[in-house]
Amino acid sequence: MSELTAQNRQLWRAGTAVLITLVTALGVTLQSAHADLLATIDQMRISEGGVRVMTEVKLFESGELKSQRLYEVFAGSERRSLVLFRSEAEAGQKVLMLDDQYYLFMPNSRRQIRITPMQKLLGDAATGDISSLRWSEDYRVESQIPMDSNRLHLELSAQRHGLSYQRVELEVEQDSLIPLAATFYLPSGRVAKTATFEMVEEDAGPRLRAMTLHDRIQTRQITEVSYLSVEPWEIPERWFNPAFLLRNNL
Amino acid sequence: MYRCEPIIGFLLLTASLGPLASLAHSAQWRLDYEMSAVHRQQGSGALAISNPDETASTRSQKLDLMLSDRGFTVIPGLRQEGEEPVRFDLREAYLDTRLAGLEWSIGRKVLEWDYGFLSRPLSWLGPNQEGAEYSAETLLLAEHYQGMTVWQSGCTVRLYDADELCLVRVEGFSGHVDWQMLGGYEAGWRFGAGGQWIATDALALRLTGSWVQNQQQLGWSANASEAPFYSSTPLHQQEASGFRWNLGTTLTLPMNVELMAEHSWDESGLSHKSWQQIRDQVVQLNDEAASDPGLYAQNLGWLSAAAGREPLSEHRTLLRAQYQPADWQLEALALLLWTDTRPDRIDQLRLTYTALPLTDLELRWRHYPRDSILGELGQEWRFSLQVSTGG
Repeated sequence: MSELTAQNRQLWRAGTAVLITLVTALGVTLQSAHADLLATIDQMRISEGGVRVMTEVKLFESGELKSQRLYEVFAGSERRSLVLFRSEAEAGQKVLMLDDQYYLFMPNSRRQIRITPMQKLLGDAATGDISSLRWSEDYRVESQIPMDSNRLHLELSAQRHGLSYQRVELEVEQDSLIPLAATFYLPSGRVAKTATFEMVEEDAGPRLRAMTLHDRIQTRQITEVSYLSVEPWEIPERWFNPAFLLRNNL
Repeated sequence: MYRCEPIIGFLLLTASLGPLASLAHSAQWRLDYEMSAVHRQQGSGALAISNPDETASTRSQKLDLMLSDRGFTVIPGLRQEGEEPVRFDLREAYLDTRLAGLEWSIGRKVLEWDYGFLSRPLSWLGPNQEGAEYSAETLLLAEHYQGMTVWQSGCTVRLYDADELCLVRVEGFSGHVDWQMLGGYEAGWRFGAGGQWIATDALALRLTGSWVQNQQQLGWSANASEAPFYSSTPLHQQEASGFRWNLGTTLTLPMNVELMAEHSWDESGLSHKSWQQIRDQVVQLNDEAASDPGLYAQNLGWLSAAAGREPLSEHRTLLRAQYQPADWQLEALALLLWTDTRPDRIDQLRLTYTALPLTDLELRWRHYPRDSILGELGQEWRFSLQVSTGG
C-alpha cells in the first residue's frame, strides 16, 4: 500500500514537473513571440543599434501651422537617447534619457536639470515621445485581439514604473504589422493622447514617416511628429554622460 | 540722461557677429540681454541700510554674448547701472580640448557643482546660490569619463596675491541618484560630498555639505587682538574651521505646480547668539545716537556692512511655490533668516510671461516685514525684459 502511494507520489511529481515545464515553455514562447511582434513594429521606425533620427515637430491649430521645431535624436542601446534641439528658438538645449531618468541641459545654465518624460516640447509632443523610440524596450504585449480581417488590436503594458504611459492600445495591420493608431494611457488610467501613424514605402520595406498626436481636450490642435531621416550612427559612449554634455556643445 | 548708446553699439556689433559666426561650420553664438528697472522704498528699521524712508529708482542693463568654436568659448559682457558708465567684463574665456585621453579646460570658466538653490556648499568654483553673479576664476582642469562617472582634478591660476585652490572631484549618475565627492586645499583643507535622490516622478531630495578649514567667519568678540570687521566694532572677522550644509526637497504636483523647501546651515554666517548681541548693541547705540548724530552714522556703517554680508545668518530657510500655466510663471517665495527664535522673513512674488520664444517679461515684488530685527527695510518693485537669441 505504502509502495503504491510512493509510486503515485512520484507520478504526481513527474506530472507536475512536466506541466510546469510545458506552461513555462508556452509562456516563454508567447512572450518571445510578443517581443518579436514589437521588435518588428520598431523596425519600421528605427533600425537596431545606434541611430540618428532627424525629427520635426509641427503644431497645427484648426489646420493652420502655428509653430515647428527640429530635433536631432541619437538613440543608443539600453534605453539611452540624446535629443539635441536644432531650432533657432531652442538652440543649444539638450535632453538626455537614461532609462527612465531625464536630464535637461539649457545653454545658459551650468548644471543639468532633472525633468519628467511628460514635460512638453511642443503641442502634445512630450520629451518621452521624441526620445523613446523602441516599444519593444518599454512595453510587453498583454493581449492581441483581431478586430476584423485586416486589423489587430494589441494591448501593451509598461515594463517599468517610470514610463510616461503605463498602458498603450495599439492598432496594427494584421499581416504587415504596420501601426495604424494608438491610445496612450497615464498611470492614473486616464487617456493622455491618441495617435495615428503615416507610413512611407522604401526599398527596405515600409517605414514610419510621421506620428500625428491628437489632443483630447483641444480638439482643434494637432501635433505632427515627422521622422525626416533615420541612419545608423556610431554614438560615442561619453555622449550619454551628463557631465560630458555640460561642457560640450554638440 | 540715461546712457544706452554703448549697449546699442554692442547690439549692432552682435547683429553683424552672429551671421559671421554662423559662417564657420561649427561656430555657435548666443546673446542674452536684460533690461531692468527697480523702484525701491527703504523703511525705517533699526538696521536700515540707507536713509530712512528713502525711495529710489534705478535702471540697469546687462548684455552677454557667447561665441564658441572648436572648443574655444568667449563670453564678453557689458553692465550698466543707473548713471554709472558702461562696464566691460570678460566673463569667461576658455578652451575645452581633448589631449592624452583626458578632457582639459584652460582659462576663465564658471563651474556649477551643487544641486541646491539657497546655498551651494559644493560650488567651489561657481556661484554659491541660484542666480548670483559670479566672477569666473582662471583655472586648469582635467577630466576623465568612466561610464557614468566623471573624475576631475585641477587648480586655479590666480594672478593676484591669494592662495590657489587645488581639488579632486568625482561625480556619478546612478539611476535615481546623482552624487559627488570633493577634496581640496586652499588656505586649509576642505572636503565636500552630496547627493540628489529622485525618489519618485514627483519628489526629489537633496543634501550637500562641506567642511572648510581656516575659512573667514564673522563673530562677536571683545578680543581687541582680532581683526575688526568694520572699524572699531565688536564684530570681528576670524579664521575658523566650519561646516556648510544645504538640505532641500522639491515636490512636483499636477497642473504644473512645484513646491520647494530648503534649509541652509552655514557656520560662516552670524549665529543666533551674535545677532542677540547686535540687537543689544543697537538699542544702546540708538540711545547714544539720540544725542550724537556722529555715533548714529558709525552705528549705521557697521550694521549695514554686517547686513550686506552673505550669509546674513547661520540658519536660513527657503520656501517656494511655482505655478506655470502655459507661457506664464507665477512664483511665491519666502526666505526665513533665523536671527532669533522667530525668523525674519523676506517675501517675494514674481510673475513671468514669455511673450515670444526667448523673450521674457518679469515683474517682481519683494517685501521686508516690519516686525523683524532688520526693521522694515522696505519694499522693492522690479520690472525686467530678457531677450535671448542664438545660432
